[in-house]
Amino acid sequence: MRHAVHVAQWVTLAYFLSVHGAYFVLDLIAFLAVGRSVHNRDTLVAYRRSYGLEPPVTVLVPAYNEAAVIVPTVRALLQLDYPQFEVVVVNDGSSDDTMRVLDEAFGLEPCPRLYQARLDAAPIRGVYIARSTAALRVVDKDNGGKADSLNAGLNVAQYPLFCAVDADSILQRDSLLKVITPFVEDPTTVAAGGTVRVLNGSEVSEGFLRRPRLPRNRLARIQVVEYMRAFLFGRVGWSPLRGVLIISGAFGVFRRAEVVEMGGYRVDTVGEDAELVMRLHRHCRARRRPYRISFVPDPICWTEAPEDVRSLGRQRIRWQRGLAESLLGNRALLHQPGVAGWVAYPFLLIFECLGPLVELAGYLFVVAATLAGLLSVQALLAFLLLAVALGTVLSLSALLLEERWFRNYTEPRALVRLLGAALAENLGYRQLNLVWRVVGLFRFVSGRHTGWGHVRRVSAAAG
Amino acid sequence: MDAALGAFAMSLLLLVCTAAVRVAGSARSARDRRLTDLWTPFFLGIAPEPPAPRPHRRDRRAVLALWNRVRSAMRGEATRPLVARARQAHLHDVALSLLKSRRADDRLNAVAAVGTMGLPSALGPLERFARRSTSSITLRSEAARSMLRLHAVRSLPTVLELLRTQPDWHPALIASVLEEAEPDAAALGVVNEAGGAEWRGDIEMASRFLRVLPAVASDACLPGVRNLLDNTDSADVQAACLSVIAHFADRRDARNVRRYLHSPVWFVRVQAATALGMVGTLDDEPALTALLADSEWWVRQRAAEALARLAGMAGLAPDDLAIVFEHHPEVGRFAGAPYSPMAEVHP
Repeated sequence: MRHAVHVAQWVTLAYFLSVHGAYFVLDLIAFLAVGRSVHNRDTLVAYRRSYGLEPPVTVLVPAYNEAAVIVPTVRALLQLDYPQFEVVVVNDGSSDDTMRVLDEAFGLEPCPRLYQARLDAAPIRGVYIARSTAALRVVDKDNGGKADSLNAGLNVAQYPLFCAVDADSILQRDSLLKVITPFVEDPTTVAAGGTVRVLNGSEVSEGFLRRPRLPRNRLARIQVVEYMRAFLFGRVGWSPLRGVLIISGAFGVFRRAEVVEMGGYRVDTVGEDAELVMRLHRHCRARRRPYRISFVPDPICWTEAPEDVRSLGRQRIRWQRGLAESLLGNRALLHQPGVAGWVAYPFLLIFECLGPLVELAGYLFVVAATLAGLLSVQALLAFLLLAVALGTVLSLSALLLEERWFRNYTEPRALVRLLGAALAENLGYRQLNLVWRVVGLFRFVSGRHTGWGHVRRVSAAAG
Repeated sequence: MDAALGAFAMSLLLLVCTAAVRVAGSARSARDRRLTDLWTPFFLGIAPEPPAPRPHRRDRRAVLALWNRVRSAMRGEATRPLVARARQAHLHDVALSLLKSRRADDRLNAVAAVGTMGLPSALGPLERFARRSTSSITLRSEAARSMLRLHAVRSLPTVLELLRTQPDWHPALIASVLEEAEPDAAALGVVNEAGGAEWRGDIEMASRFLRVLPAVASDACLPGVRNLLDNTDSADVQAACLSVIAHFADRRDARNVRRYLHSPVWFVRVQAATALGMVGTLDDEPALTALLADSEWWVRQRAAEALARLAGMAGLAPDDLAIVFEHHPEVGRFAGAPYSPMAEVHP
């Protein structure tokens, strides 16, 4: 028995060390990559802008019951600082006044010719063009989910690149200019994502972020640090290695021809964003096309984070389920040589997808073994302290990266509050998250459906 | 336990580093603001003298970037006083030294600056930057621009040769580079490159060069384009030539264009219909009307647009236009639409 406990103890410890070790490596890569990217960022954007060389982009906005925010969101999108773009709003059979408020604000004119059925989508009720600006198109369709709405939007899109944006996301005026950089610098780029940040507490007016501020709500503040860590290490760290497997559904730019050629978004998954990126890897590799999927470290999209435990739990359960679905659906990536298939995919599978099971089992085992007297209290304490300390180091290094290159939160008190959140993240929040992720895995196995997954709005953006 | 304590010590170190970075960042921002306040009036000609004989070594990168920002708002002769002010503040030394910087943004700023400042000694390094495939496209294209700014006649052949070897450069990017050269020389150079590529059988490259010509904005290319159109068998090159002819809209090309209205390749017919709308007359109505029954919707659309355009150009009275529209509803539909319908598959 003691021997079994000894082995289990070492397995748990080895898992903890390997997961944190892997994150430290990504951490180091991100430090180097972000530095190089940020040095160039403004200069490159400035030079490109003076010659107007950005490719035209279609901004797709799927909307389900977004009557409260859709008009300011669209107005803000139409004012993006970008030479040539169009906005396509897809109303996914909303039961509220989404269509009516759009019509009242922009004056919609029926224009069915704009719709080209390249991808399957739920039945279309109407396709409209705004009287006030030809850059706004609206598709009204039966309810079919977010992925289905994006496919319908792609049937109206006319530009070579498209950007999928959540209707409740807030962009910065120069978001498109920044995220488009990989497409200009490397014509083989097929997708690029940007860092998403927590909007709660920030000053928003007329659909634009005026000043980032930390949320008053503690749960949201912890998520600020969590998002920093997840995006700066989890995504940016993979970019130079060509191993980006997830681009957030809240903001990502894709080459339309590739996505249409693959059959568009899959409608039978809740993680359509990650699934699309993994399928893009497979698609390009299978055709032996040179390609790149990049990630831009700049914070370019701000989104509402849940401020109550219930909403947060629902969100995390949905995310975990989506990740599991995406990984399972794209397991063929493992047979395709390269960082994406042989390094990033196993990393996601072992540490992000199955990791919560191992980690939770580890916590339970250590506590149970201590209670049974098979493990000393000192060993239990050492294990818990190590888990917390390693997590804190990762959170703090994300904070250091943010402070060095972005400095979004300039108030003197903000740094202290962020440091507090970085510590709090590892004392309770991470463990709670673990439970939700395990539930998400069980939901994936049991096949229980989750819908659009709205977050209850709390910030000024809602107004 | 030791490992946990070590990790906590690491956390503490990171805390200290973060605080230090915040203090340093604040100081850097304040310094950048001060530099902008000091040097902008001089660059704009409001202050006659520079705030210092030459920028401090620590500030030179920021000052050159500021100079470039002011310069980017100016074109041609308007940059002369700014160049003189750069010399006054010894910024040419700064630009030349930053060409060797390890930072890509410094190199980009320096590459752009040396071209406008007219520093002939930079021509060699610029050519190396332009040819280095590992550099970013922005840096390479800016180096090519600077070469043309420095010595347009001498650099044009090198730049054209460079463009030939860059299949991933977008035509708009190529056009923006060639804007720096003398338009007639650039147009002739591009059409020669297109001809050479066609002769070598590199149809894609020939078409790419031809697509650049409208942006170069010199009709000096037309004789070469006509010659190419007459002698090529490639449908891609024919379509590209017809699109150039449509852009420059020289009526002498009408006869040549009519020959391609019945090409077996649909995209050649598309370009021919468009071009005829630009260079034809109302006598072309029957030929264009026949294209309204083409099997390709795009040809039908372009033919309808061409008819509407010719009718409009002929100064037809509204009543006569109404008759044209009545006989050919497509003409009215397409001519009246404020946007281009891209599809015929209706929901």
